[in-house]
This record gives sequence, structure tokens and C-alpha cells, in this order.
Amino acid sequence: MSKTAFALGLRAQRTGYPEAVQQLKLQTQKLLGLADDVTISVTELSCREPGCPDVETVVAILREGEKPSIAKVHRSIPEVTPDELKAAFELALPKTLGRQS
Amino acid sequence: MANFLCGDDIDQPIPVTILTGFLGAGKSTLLNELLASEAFADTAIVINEFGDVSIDHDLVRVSNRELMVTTTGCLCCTAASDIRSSLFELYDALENDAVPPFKRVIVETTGLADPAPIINQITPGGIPAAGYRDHVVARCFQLSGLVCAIDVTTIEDSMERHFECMKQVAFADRIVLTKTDVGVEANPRATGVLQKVREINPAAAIVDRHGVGFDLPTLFAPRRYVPSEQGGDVEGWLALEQALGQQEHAHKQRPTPSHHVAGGIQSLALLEDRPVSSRNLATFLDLLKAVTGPQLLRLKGLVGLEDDPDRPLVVHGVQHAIYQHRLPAWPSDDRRTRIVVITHNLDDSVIKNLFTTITGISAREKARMVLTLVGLSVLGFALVAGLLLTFHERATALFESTPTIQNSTSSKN
Repeated sequence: MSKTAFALGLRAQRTGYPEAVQQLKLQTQKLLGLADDVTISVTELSCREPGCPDVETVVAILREGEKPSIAKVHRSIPEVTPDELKAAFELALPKTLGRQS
Repeated sequence: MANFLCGDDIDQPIPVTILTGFLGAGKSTLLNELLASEAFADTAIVINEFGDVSIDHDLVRVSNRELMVTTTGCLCCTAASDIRSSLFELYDALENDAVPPFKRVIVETTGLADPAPIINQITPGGIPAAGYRDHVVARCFQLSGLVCAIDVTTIEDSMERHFECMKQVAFADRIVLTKTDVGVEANPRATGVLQKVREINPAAAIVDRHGVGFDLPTLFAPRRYVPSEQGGDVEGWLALEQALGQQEHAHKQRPTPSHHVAGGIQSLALLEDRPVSSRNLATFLDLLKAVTGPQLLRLKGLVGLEDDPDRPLVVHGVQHAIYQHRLPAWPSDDRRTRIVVITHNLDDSVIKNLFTTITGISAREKARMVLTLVGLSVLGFALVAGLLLTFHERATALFESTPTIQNSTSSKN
């Protein structure tokens, strides 16, 4: 998946997990203007029960002594687009993203 | 000094080593070899399998010096079968003298396990102990290493396509390269596999299963496992796991997502009471590979064959490669053919139909069917021939009688 395609917010092709995780971290750092020492953790959950999404990408901002900020997108990690990530953080951190925009 | 919570049998925490690795990486093979070693007598084994039908417990050889607990649920997050429950079960059996004393525990995870929830349940600072069971486990057992087996021929693709595989590599403090003996293409240095693994896990010691000086018992020797020393994303994943756990507690009415299996992965158990023919089995496996392609992640099973039903065939499939070998006898009283197929984004009915149409009909039944068909054909032929003969006789009689009428008519004229 090219960076241009990401910048345009296009639906991601299935890129590999290691690369996709790094891309999501970079996008999150840029989106929220985070310093290099802030831990960003990306994971993927799945659910077989009715009422919850099949697969969910979870991106968390972890700061020492603070409650984690968690954004969720109902797609697998390689499928998450920058627009979906932004929308998820606008929901999770409305004040932070509101100040920036 | 005896630990008051752990009783007289446990004077210091029992070391627990996790053996992980993606589907088909060779975990059970390593475990079998390890258990054959005298140094690893007095070992308790916890085997977790993905799927409803347990097979690995029949494929791992355990002598009477060892103890095995198997679970087919989700080791990492299902309350009924999590790691704390399994360890407590062992502790309880030991306390009640139901089992001989053991010195160590090895937990073999499913090939689809996410190590984060497992680690969080048995390390200090992880998920807090909630009751007596959890406190006993925290006091009496100690995480003492995480070994990840990686198949050098498939690891690159598996890490690209499966998040759990990447996490298994990242969490390991020891990585063992398997299948390095299958050819030049399996040379991890030549293929760049080592570099890919190092990008995910820069800290773990890496050993080659077929390398000079490889010593399996050393790999499983108890040691200190400190998540913060694993580097990479490990600490973040553990912290996130805990945060999600707290969220789930706060929203208990919502269905709980599982943390170990990517969406679209299914496990299907195929069972057959009668022995099957070798030819039918070969056809089934060939068709299965052709139909499923890369969607076939893993296949494992015990198959009773018609030619020698007392010696079952062990079948292992890792993506497109299928391995088979014969056992001298059935490992348990269960003599059914049972095959577990793990696939990604594939309709179960495709495999079920293949199995029923090809393996479901035994050679004996086929022979009976052929004989029946031949018998019916002969009967049908005889019936048709009889009808034709009758028709022919009647037609001839009619044909022969016509001139008489004509003659009589002409005579009247």
C-alpha cells in the first residue's frame, strides 16, 4: 500500500501486519502530534459472539500514570484507512482533536 | 521453607515455560523430543488446542512420569479454560496426591494463541488476582521462559498474514528455528528470514533446531522472564491488554471479544467411525489442497486405514505441505478417524462435502455398490432381453398370421 493511497484515504489493500502496525503508529503519532517517547500500542481483537464486530483494531496511547486513550475501528489492522483512524480518535478524544483542527 | 499457601509439596514456585509458535511450526515435535529426555521427567504438560476435538493429546507421548492436562477452549481468555484454571487444576491434583510430584510445567499453546493474555495472567503486575485460585497460582507458579518455534519455510508469510504469529515471535525470549533441514531454500540466513524475525524481536536468543550444538533441554531450562526486557511492542501490548480487560469489566453486558484468533479463522472437526481406504484419503487430501489453496492453515489428524486398521496414520498439514506417518498402535481407546482442519475465510460445508463424498464411502461399500450395480444391470439386461424376445415372438406370430387372414379374405373374394 503506497503512502499516496493512504494520504488520499483510499481503502487499504491487504498489506502485511508488521508494516501495517508501523503505519498505524506513524499515522497516530502524526494525527495527535505525539512525542517520540509516547507509547502507541496497536492490537487486533476478534469476536464470535453476536452483537460485536468480527474483527476490531485497537489503537491505544499509553502514558505513564495516565488512563490509556483507546480508539477502535471495526476492521483488521491492514484494512484501516487514515480517515477511519481519524474518525475513531475524534470519537475517543474529541477535545484533543477539536483543539488541533 | 514451605510456602503456606502452596502446601508442603511446593517449597518454591514451580517454573512454567510457555511453548508457542504458529500453526504447524513443530511445537508438538519439540515437546515429544523433550519429554523423551531423562532430564525432563517429572514434567506436567498443559496442551491447549484450537477446536472442539482434541488430537494433540494423542500425538504427544507422555509416560507415567509425566502428567498432562488438555484444554480445547481458549487458553488465553475463556474463564473455564484459562491458564490460571489449568495451573490450579495441576496444583489441586498435586495437593490431593492424585498425581506424582512434578518439578516444572510446560504449556503448549494453540498455534493461534495471542501470548499477551497468558503472560498477563501469570506475571506479577499483570491482571490482578481475583480470588483464592488466582492467589494460589501467583504464589505457587512462576513464568520461567517463553519459547517460540518458527517454521523457517512459512514464517515470513505467516507473520504477514496473521497478527497472532507476529505477536508470538515478539513475546519470545527464546526462538527456535524449525524445518531448517528441508533444503537450501530453508536456510534462514540466505532467505532473509532472520532479519525479518529480528525486526519483530531484537532481543530473543535464536537457535537452530538442526544446528551444531543444539541442546533442547537448555532451551527449556527455567530462567527469569521479564516482559520489559523483550523490547519492541511487548510492554505496550500487555498494558493495552490490561486496559481492555478493565473496560470489559466496566461493560460486562457486552459480548467480550477474544484476543487470540483473527477474524475468519475456523476449526472444523471431521469424524468417521469406519476405517477409510488409502486411495480415498489421498484423493481427499489432494482435493482439499486444490480447493482451499492458501486458505488451508493447518490440518492434523489420526486416520484408521482399511489396509491395517490397528495402525493409525498420523496426518499433518501445514498450509500446502502434508506429512504422514504410521503409528504402531492407537494411542487411546478412541479408534475413530478424526481430522481437524483449520482454515481462513472458507465455508465449512466445502470441506464437509469433500470428506463425506470421498472418505465417507469405504472401499468395501464401494465394492458392494459395484456388485449391486452389476447385479441390477444383469437383471435389467435380462428383463429387457425377455421383453424383446416376447415382443419378437408376438410380432412374428402376428406377422405370420396376417397372410392367413389375407389368404382367407382373398379366398372369399
